[in-house]
Amino acid sequence: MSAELTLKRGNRIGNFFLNYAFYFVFLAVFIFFSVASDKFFTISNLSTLLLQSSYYGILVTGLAFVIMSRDFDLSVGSVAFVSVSVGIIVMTKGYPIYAGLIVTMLTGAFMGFINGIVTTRLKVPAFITTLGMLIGGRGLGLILVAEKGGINIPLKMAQFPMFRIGPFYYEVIIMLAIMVAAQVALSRTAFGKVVFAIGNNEKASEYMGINIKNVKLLLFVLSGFIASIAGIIYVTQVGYLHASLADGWEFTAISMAVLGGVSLFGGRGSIIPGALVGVVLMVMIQNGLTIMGISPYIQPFIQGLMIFLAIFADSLKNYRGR
Amino acid sequence: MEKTIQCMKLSGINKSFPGVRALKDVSMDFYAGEVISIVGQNGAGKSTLMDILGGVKQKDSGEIYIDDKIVHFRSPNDSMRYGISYIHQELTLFNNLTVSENVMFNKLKSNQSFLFLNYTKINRKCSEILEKIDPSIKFGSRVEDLAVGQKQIVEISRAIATGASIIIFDEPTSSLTLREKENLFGLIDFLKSQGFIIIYITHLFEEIFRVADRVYVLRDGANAGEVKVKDTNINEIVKLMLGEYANKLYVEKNHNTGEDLLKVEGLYSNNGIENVSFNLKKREVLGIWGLLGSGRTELVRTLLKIDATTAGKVEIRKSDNSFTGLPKKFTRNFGYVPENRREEGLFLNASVMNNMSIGRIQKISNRAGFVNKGKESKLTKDASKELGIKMVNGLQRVETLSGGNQQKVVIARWLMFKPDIFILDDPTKGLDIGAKAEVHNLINKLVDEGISVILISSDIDELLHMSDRIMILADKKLVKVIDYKEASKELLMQYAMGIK
Repeated sequence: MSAELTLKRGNRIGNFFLNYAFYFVFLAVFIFFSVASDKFFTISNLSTLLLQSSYYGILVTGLAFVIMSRDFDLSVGSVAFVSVSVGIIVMTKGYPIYAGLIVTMLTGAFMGFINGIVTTRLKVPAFITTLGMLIGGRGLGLILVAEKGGINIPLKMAQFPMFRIGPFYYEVIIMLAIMVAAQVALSRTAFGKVVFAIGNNEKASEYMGINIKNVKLLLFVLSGFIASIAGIIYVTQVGYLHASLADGWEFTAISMAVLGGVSLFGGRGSIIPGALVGVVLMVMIQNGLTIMGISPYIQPFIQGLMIFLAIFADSLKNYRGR
Repeated sequence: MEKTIQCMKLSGINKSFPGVRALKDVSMDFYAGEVISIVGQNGAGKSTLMDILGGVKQKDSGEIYIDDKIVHFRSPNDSMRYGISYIHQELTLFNNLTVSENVMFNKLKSNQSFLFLNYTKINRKCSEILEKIDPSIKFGSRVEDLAVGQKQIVEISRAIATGASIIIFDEPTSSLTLREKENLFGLIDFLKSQGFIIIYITHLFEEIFRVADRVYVLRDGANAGEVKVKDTNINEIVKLMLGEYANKLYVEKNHNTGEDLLKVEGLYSNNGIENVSFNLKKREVLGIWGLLGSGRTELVRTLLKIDATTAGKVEIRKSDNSFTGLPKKFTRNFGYVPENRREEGLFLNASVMNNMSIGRIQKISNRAGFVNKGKESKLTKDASKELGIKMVNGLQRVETLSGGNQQKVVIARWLMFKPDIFILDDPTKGLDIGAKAEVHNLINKLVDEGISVILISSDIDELLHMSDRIMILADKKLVKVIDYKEASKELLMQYAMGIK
């Protein structure tokens, strides 16, 4: 009995470190760059860093819900690309900006809906469905955009990232608003508890009378919808629509979520502080390495290492939880 | 917590699955303030019946009445709405949520103030229930930090919070400690006094006599009897479970058993096997009997080194008559036919030939790795002739064969290795009588050729029929090894249930 207790306590201490490891890593990385470069810890760099995080923060929020319900959405990058392309094209045809934005978000939600229907009703594994959407969506976007070689976005949109309140750009505030709302939904509503429940134990959720198909469908729609918003934020920052927009976002976003403690095994994680920390940590490493003038070719390697460690920690946690 | 439902009646419930009639005209009555136990052998239909009450499966015909009104359960939600809560054998809690979130899970929506969960209300309602049944559990704890017994209390609390009047327990004590069991029984007594209808599924007789008032016995999916606990005894219930032919005699076996081939001493394993010792003779069929969870499969997995041995030794006779430990690769000595041939034994959409040759595909390939098709096809032909597998040709897909022939394909695959010992885990499960007999003949043939067989079966007749000796397991421990001549159904049942 006492041996069992010690074992349990040992697990608790181990779990504490596993749970909070990436907050420590975050602090360590932050302090390291602050010491290593005098250009890192400046208000202007830090607020730029947050601006760079803003579209990823939004993107990860939608995706994290899907991961928490123990599923996957690989299509977020392509969904962002297609929906923004459609929206911008609507704007270039002379419609007002807000109309274009609404079209963008509807397109994103619709693509998420397709993902959800194929996954829950046709019973195709989400991995395959969204992989199809990743490839097919990219192709569709290329048809819309590539021939023109790139489309400049309306000036008013391109100016949007310049507005800020104090050190906080509007886009950062939008990100925070979305993330806070998502976190509240997760921890303070019945809906959030249902998402956690499905991610933890699908069979038990079924016994409790939860309509799993509909909840998952909704989560895919949400993920697509939010991906389109992330796309809008991103395109305002680069100023024009180009063929490789949002390319590779899905893996960056999944990595960020896992870095922030959203478990790939479902049922665990938070948007704030979790996902937010994951996003900022990843962006901070890019930003810091660039500032220090370290070869850009090393960056993917270091990112890969971080992701590996994060997923390893996640597996350990999950293993202990059993 | 005073309850309003007075009675529930089942009348003529039928349920079929493809090829099996799981329930035949089952009728039962349940009254408030009563604990009714439902017993039967594995496969007697208990689980199916409870799944129908829980809304997990739907009945084909028959009626369910609650307080004399006909009700229909199309989903777990329906059954919950009519006041039935089903405590499944495996716990269905959400480990990542808190106690109060779990207890109030079905009522979260009605405890929101404007969109947001009202935790003051949720926690208060949860503590009100916990106070009555187990004040030691705190509403804010995470369920993953609780002991198994406490988790069960949380599940019962959830049933109460959901508004249940009828609570179904499916083998609730299987993972509880003695103390936790007593707690549970006390709690069931309390619920009974509050006017709940309790349905209690178990195969442990002591528990029936501890908690139940009335017992329904199911046999082969039909009502086999109803007895009041205070007017009955264990023997009567066992007789009802087994039917009239409780002591059918079988022909003498003519297995020409030889000297010891395998010696197992004081075996412990990390999957729970405790202190099991036995020997297996040459040309012997050693039956293993035990109820679900008794450790039958675990023992086999340990012998095969799939799960790790923590203490004890397993030795096999070498050709020079000395004993040696088992080699790392079990396949050299053992042929293993797993319990679920469709999931674990076969590559269903591959051909018969592929399924047979996969076991020694390297031996019939040349150095470059190309498979010698001629050898492969000859091997298949020979094996299917020897075992009498009925098929069009070797290219036929395995899933199109009948169950009995599928099983023979699995056996054929191992036979190519010429193993010393065959381990067959429920080899005739789901087969009809004709196919069963064929598999039995095949087993006898294997024995004639000098192979020893370890036979696990849930079919008690089959064990008595085929085995030379029967080893009885309970609770992952060895209870007894008896000669088939001394064995009877009652005896095996009594040993397995720990009443002898």
